[in-house]
Amino acid sequence: MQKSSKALTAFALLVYLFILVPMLIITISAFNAETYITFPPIGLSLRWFANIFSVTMFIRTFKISMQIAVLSTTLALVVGIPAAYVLSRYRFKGRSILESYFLSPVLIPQIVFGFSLFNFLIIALDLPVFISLFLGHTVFILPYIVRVISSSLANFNYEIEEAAISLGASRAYTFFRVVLPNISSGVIAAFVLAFINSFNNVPISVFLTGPGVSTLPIQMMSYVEYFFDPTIAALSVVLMVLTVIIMFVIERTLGIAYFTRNAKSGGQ
Amino acid sequence: MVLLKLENIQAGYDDNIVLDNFNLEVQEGELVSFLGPSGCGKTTTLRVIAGFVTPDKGKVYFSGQDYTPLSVHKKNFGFVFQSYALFPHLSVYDNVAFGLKMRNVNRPEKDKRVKDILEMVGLERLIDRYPGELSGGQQQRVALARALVIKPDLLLLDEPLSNLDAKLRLQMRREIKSLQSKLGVTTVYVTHDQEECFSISDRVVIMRDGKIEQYDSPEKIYDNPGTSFVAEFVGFKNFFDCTFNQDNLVDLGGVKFEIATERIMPSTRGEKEITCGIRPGDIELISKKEADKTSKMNRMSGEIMLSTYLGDEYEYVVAGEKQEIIINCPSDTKIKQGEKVELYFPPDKLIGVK
Ligand SMILES: Nc1ncnc2c1ncn2[C@@H]1O[C@H](COP(=O)(O)OP(=O)(O)OP(=O)(O)O)[C@@H](O)[C@H]1O
Ligand SMILES: [Mg+2]
Repeated sequence: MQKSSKALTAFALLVYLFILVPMLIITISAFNAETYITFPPIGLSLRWFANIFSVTMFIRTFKISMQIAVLSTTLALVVGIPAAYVLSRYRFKGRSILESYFLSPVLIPQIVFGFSLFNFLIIALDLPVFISLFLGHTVFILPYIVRVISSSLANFNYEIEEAAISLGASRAYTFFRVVLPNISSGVIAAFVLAFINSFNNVPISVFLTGPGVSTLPIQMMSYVEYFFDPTIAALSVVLMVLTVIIMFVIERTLGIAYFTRNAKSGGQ
Repeated sequence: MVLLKLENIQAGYDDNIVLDNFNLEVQEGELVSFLGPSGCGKTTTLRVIAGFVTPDKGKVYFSGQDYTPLSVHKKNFGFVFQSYALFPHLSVYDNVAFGLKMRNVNRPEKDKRVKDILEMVGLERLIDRYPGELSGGQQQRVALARALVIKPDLLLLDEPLSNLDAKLRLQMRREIKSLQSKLGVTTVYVTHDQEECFSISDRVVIMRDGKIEQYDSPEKIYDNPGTSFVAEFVGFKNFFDCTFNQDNLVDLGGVKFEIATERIMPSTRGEKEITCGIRPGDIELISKKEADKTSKMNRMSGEIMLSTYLGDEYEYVVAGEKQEIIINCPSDTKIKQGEKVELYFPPDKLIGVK
C-alpha cells in the first residue's frame, strides 16, 4: 500500500512538473533583458512588459477578443440555458438529433468546424468580419454551455419545480425563481468555460478574422512569425496572471468546488 | 358530500397505460389512503388528481366542477412529495411563505400564517435555517407546513414518511393525523406500509395493477378482506384452494372446512373453486385427547418443521396434510421440531375469497 502510494505521488509530481515547467520557463524568460528568448535569461528587465503596450495591435485585438468572448458567451447563455432546460425536461421529436449536435464539438475537429463556418458566414451570407466572429464563436461555445447546464439540471430534483407549481407558481416564475437560482453555479461554470474557450480559440478564429479585425491569439501567432523577442512571453505571463486573478475572485465569491463538481446545485 | 371524484380515468406514460377505467370518490374531510405494492399506480393516481399527469380519458371532478383541464398552479391543492422537494435556496420561512407569496397575501398576514403553521409543526425556532441544515424529520415537517399554510382544498401526500426511521415515522403519522383532523382538510395519502395506512385513514383504497381491489374503512378491510390479495395485505398467510360444496362448506381434497356465512366474501359468488384463508394467530392447537373426542371438521394434522421466535410469540411452519401451514402460538410453551400437532381452523376465523 505504502509503496504504491509513494509511486503514485511521484507520478503525479512528474505530471505537474510536465505542465508547470514550460510555464515557468516562459515566465522567467519574460524578464530577459536580451532581444531574443533564451533560457536561462541574461540580465533582468521589464522592458518586454512595457513593449506589449507599444504594439497597438495587441491592445486592439485584446479588446476585440474580450468583446467577442463577452458577447458570444452571453448570447450562448441566453440560447443555451433554455435549450438545456427543454432537452432535460421534455420529450419531443428530434430530441436525439439536438443532443448529438451538442456533442459535436468533441467529435468534429475545430479546423473543420472553422472552415465550414467560414464558408457559411463569410462566403454564403457575406457577413462583416466582426459579426462572423461573434456568431461563429457563439455557435462553437453553445454546446459547452448546454452540456454544463444540462448536468446541473440533471442534478436538480424535478419535484422541486413541481412543488413550486403546486403552490401556485407559473412555469415561467418557477424557471426564473426556483430553477435558475439552484443552477447558478452551473451557469457560472458554463460562463467561465465558454469565455476561456472563446478567448483562447485559434482554429476557428483563423478562418473568421479579416482585414482590421483579429483576435489576440491570432495576433500573437503572427507576431511570433516575425519577431523572436520576449514580448510574447511577457504577454503570456500577463494572460496567465489575469486568469489566476479571475479564478481567485470566483474562488473567493463562490468556492472553486463549483468547477470541480456541480453536485452543489442538486436537490437537498 | 363527495368532494373529489375520478371518473373512468385512463392515464399512463407514453404507451404504458397505468390506470384504466379508474373510478374513485372521496368525501369532504376524509383521509383516504392508497395502499398497494410498488409500481401499482399509487403515485400516478395522485399525480392525476394534482394535475401533473393529464389523463388520456375520463374526468377529475372537484366539488362538482370539472378540474381536468385546469392547470396545476390554478388549483389550490397542497402536495407533499416523497423527497420533500424543499427549495434549497430558500430559508424555512421563505419555503413556507412561497405559496402565500404566489397568492399575494400581505406582509403581516403572511408572517402570522407562517409563524402559526411552523408552531403547529414545532419548527418555530428553525425559521431562518436552510433545508440543507435540517434533519429528515424536520424537512418533512417543513414540507407539510408549506403545503398546509395555503389552506389547501385538498392535501395530497406521496409516501411522506418513507425516508424516516421507524420511531419518527410513528410520531409523524400521529402528527399528520392530528393536524389533518384539526384543520379538517380532505387528504389523499399514499403509502405502502399497511400499519401506517390503517392507523390514520378513514378509508383505504387497496390498489393492484392500477385497479382498486377494495375501498373500505380499515376495520372492514381488516375483518373482511374481499380478495386473497387484500387478505395477504392484512396478515393472512395461509391460503387453501378449495371446492365449494354447499353454502358454507368447502372441500380441500378430502378435508372439509366450514366457514361462517358472513365470512364468505361476495367475490366468490357463483364460483366453484374458491380460496380459503386464515391468519397464523387464528389457528388453534388441540391436544390429542380433545382431538379424539371432537368431530373431524375444520381440522388438519401436521408436523412442526421450523420454529421462529418473534418475541411474544413463536411462529411455526407446519407440514400439513396437503400443504405447509404457518401458525403463531404464545411463547409460554415451545413445541419441539418434529412434533406432531392437531390444528383447528375456527369457522368464524376462516374467510372465503376468490
Ligand atoms: N415518468 C414515468 N415514465 C414512464 N413510466 C412511469 C413513470 N412513472 C411511473 N411509471 C410506471 O408506471 C407504473 C406505476 O408507477 P407509480 O409510480 O404510479 O407506482 P407506485 O404505486 O407509486 O409505486 P411505488 O410504491 O414504487 O412508488 C410503473 O409501472 C412505473 O414503471
Ligand atoms: Mg410512488
